Amino acid sequence: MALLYPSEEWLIELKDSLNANPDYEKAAANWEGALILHIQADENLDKDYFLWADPYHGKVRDAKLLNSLDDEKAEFVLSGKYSTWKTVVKGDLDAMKAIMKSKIKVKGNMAFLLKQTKASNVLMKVQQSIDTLFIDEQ
Amino acid sequence: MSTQEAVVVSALKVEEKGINRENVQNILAELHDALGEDWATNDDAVLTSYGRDFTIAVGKKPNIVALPGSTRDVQTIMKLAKKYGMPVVPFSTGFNHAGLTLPRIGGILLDLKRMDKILKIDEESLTITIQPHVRNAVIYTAVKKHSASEGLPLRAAIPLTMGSASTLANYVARGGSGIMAKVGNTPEFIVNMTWVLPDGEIVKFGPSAVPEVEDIPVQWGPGPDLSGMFINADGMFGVCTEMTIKILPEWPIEKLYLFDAEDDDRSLESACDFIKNICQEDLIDFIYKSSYCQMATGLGIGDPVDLSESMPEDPVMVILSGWDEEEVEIRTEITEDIAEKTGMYAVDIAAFDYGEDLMFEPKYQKRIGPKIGSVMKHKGAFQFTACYVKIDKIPGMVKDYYKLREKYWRDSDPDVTPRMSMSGTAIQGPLPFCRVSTLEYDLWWDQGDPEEVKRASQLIRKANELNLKHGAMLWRNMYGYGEIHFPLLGKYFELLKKTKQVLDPDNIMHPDINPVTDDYV
Repeated sequence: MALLYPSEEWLIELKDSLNANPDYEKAAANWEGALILHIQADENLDKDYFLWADPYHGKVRDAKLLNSLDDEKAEFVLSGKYSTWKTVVKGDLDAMKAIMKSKIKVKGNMAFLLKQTKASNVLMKVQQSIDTLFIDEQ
Repeated sequence: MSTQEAVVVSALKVEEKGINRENVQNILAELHDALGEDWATNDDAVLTSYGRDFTIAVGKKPNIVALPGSTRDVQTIMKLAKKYGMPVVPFSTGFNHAGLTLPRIGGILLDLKRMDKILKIDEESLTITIQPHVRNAVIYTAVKKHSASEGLPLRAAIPLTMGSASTLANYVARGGSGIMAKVGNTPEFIVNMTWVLPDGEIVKFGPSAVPEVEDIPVQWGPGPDLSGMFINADGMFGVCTEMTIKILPEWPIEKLYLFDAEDDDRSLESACDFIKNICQEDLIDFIYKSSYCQMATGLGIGDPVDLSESMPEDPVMVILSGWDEEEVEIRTEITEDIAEKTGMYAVDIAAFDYGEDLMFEPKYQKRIGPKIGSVMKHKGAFQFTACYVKIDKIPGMVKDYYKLREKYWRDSDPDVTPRMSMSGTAIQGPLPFCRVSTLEYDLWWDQGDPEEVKRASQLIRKANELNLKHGAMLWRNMYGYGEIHFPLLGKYFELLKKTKQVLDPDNIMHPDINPVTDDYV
């Protein structure tokens, strides 16, 4: 059954899929620092969503939906419109390309993120493998 | 000639060239008398440091290192060299991508570091007169204190290389300036030159060759112009001890932009289309197509191999300038319009803001040079070879180059992606208003790894052959350039050999650097 995006169920499925993926464990072996994916409302989404995850040395220790940016600490906050995140989740737009095009704004250590392309590439593939129902396509 | 014969000839040449213990001692004694004991040595520790550099070129230790302080000192050294038949190799700052400051046989290494003065800056004629060891960063600092008129500071056409490299040497070697797309190539800015010939005679070229004629900023002197013969001659015809170059005004407002392709599969084609269209509009001050590996090394934030996968494949850096913000805004709009039509977009440079970021400072790119330290430090050696070619040919040439990269350079380990092999391409220029530019193949290699030395040497040679196969003109003496190019040139080659014979009959000026003498090995 398809999981709604964005939602906590979808996020948990992503976490579990990443934790079961040896490529991710290897690619993200150096990752430390929680991140928030801030999905901003636009014409296809009526409110903001905050997806929080805590990747650590190749595993995602925890993941949940927040009510606001202040609910949990995060070393990285990536913010973009829902329509941008949708294209990223679908695999139509690379996350790094989205950052370079200013479609996703980054708060946090950009120098660290630039070195995590392998982890990002695995994440993209895993996202695309999740059976997803986008909220505006219900 | 067989290998054995070549060994014999080489040994004979060393002796014929006057390289023997007695001559070395005699020359050293005479240099100590003429220059002072501090300025000439045959100390082995000193000689060793001049016998190798960061390139794949093969060189030998000199037998003497001499440091002249003036044109007269250079003349003294050249006369001594001729007297004893000892080779001479000029050295300004020693930063030469083709290894041209390395002696091929030995002899006297003429280190010009004491000749580091800016002799004159003339705001009326817009010229600056420099000695060989005046470096790009020094010229930048000095010239910007002067103005063409109120609010219009001056600048030099600084070569697109290290701030610590010699401006004069780059101009003599036919280097390329950062603002090539706007103003052409560096030798076009040469006004006057002073050369010391292999026999010790001093000759002046340019308007100031005429007594009492001050700096007139034209590129030729009275009568038929012979100065061109000395450009890109790789030290074969003498030593340049002074040069006057044109300087030019610079608009006060400037902004840097970085463009990337929308479609990664067409990144080079899009970049080439973008460059072709931009340069017909006289919009920009500076344009440079870099590569993912140059950006990864230039950012200086970690192991470039780790960064290589996240960098744009063919990023294009552009600097727009104008009298005021409004003019820059208009130029920006036109540039972005062209970008959209050619499949490019402007990267959010602020996204790369992690503190000090010289790479995206206009003055760093245009004036001082982008390769200060960071590009070299990945493996300690950065190597390139380059050519001039029509832009339309570039995508096909790069496709062929990547095949060479795959065969000669990239590891067979499947976890090492093509990008991680760290060799890419760059486009400098193009030349003003036309669709011809340089194309450069870059690689980073570890001199301490014998396998990488082998691979780098093969790859560069094959890249030069590839350039010729595609009808490109090799830019400068890069690894067999003379051996590959000169025999193709017919009458030109004959004249070149005769010129060498006339100017340097004893073949003491940087012998064996080009195949212009019968005993070239």
